[in-house]
Amino acid sequence: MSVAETSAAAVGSRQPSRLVGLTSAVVGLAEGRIGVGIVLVFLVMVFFGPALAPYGPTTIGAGLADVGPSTAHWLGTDDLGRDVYSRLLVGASSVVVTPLIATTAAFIVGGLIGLLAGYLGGPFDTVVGRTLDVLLSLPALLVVLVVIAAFGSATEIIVLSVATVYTPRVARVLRGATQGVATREYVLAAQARGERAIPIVLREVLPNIGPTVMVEFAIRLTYAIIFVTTLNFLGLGLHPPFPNWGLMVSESRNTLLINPIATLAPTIAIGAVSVAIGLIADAITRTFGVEQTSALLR
Amino acid sequence: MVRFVMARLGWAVVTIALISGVTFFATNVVPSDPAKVALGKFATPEQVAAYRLQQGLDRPVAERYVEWVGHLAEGNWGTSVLSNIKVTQLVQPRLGRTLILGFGAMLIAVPLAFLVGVYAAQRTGKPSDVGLSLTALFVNSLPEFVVALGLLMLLGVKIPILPIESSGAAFGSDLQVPLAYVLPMLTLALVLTPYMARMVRANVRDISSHPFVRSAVLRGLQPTRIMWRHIVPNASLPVVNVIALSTAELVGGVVITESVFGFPGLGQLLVNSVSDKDIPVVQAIVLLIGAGYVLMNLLADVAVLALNPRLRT
Repeated sequence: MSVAETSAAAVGSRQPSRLVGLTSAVVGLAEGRIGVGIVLVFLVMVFFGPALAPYGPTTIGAGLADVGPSTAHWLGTDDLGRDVYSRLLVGASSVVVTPLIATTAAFIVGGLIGLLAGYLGGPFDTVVGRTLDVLLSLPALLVVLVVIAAFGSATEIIVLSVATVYTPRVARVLRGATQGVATREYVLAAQARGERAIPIVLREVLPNIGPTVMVEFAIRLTYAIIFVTTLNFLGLGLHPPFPNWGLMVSESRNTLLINPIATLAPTIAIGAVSVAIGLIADAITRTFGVEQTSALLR
Repeated sequence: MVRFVMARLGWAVVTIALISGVTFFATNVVPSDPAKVALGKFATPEQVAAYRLQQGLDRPVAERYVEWVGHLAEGNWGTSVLSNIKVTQLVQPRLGRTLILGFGAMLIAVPLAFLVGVYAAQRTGKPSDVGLSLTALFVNSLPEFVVALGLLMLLGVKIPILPIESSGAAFGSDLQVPLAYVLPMLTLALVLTPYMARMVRANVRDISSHPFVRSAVLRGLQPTRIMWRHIVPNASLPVVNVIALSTAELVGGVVITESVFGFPGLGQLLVNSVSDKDIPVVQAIVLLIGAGYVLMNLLADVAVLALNPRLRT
């Protein structure tokens, strides 16, 4: 960013300039450009997919069964003669909605816990720290499988269980980041003004650990997409004939040898989306030099 | 040192108790009434009441939990609701296979991570280093089942040298049994390597800047010797912790990989039992896998202690 740009940004209001600066920095890196490009294509699929789909996503016999790509069916058909391209377009939203809600919930709850624990310190922080250690020692997939075995695999249950599993992970990262800035002058100034803890962490601390929060959010979202798609793939969660990408992979896997494209298309789509968000997270990391080692673990 | 080990041991016991508690209470509190699960949708209220009495489900949950733990300790792991086979009988042959799979994957992943990490550290900033780090990012962002299907397409379909399905691990001939392990093991190793390699690279770079490395260079030692005798042993200490952390990923990876390949291990049985709501089997497997995971972490802690004299006070 040049000097002129920096001063221009400083003159404008604070929030938008940060976002503009971040976006230009991410797009400035090649990996960021690739990531943003794929995410934009994906967003088009999420919002306009149902309108763009040439066939009904659950229409059996839209074409002959298990035929490769043609002009009528761009990605061929699956074992029931359903159009793979249409299913891919309509199913895009189901890939991201559940993980997005779960991640956001984990950030609201875990983020507030982490911010307060890191800012307040003392006995509250000790109790929170110990509790986080215990919760983090439980393998995520095991916890979610136990919850599903007990309460079934309705979407609400999956959102709730993934959010619960990710809450302590988010709390730990934000707690560490908060500890790093808790004794800065602007925090002390706010304390001197007599502000309370929650306004201080939200208005003084949170904006200043923004890059860490964004990287953690992107990485968590990637892992949540992986997690939920995996559950769908395992047959836990959405049920056929719903055109979900994870379900599509597991359904057409039996015809992998005859008609690989029906399995490959959703597989590559899942991979592309999660890799794209990972690339964006990496680009933010490179731009701001954020510590992200702790977040790398699923 | 004894105090430290005792503390870690206490920690492990607490974690296992927590896993068993969470598992038991989650699967015994409403809405999933074990009686209704066992008897199915069409059970009459009388049948449900009789089953509850027979299985002792009318007693308080806490009391049943204590009894359940007692039975576990005696080796009575209950009976599968679905097949009426003893859980121990179901689990035992699968446990061995899953252990081989998990340890085998670690045996591939750890040396691979060291090789890749050291190679990348030696070429910091060069195209090969950037390429490796992007590859690591790429693999790390893929779901396990995508990696599994990719390997399957490559080594099972394009170059058909390996079986695309692993049930041979249980029923195959002498040759089919080991072959059935290869693809799941490779998948797990590939999923585990990127994070470890990244940590090896970071630690090797960190250690390389220490004065003792410069003095070794100035003494004219061979670069290979400096790397593997001076730098890597010092860099591997933090990696032990990383390996322990990776077992969490291994736990999840085993469950998914086994399901993809139809590998007859604990993970596959767990997923099937979760779908079928076969609660006694779910409880047993979650406890077993959880205990294995805790044990691995404990071993890593003790290994760090044994490798680092400074901590032995």
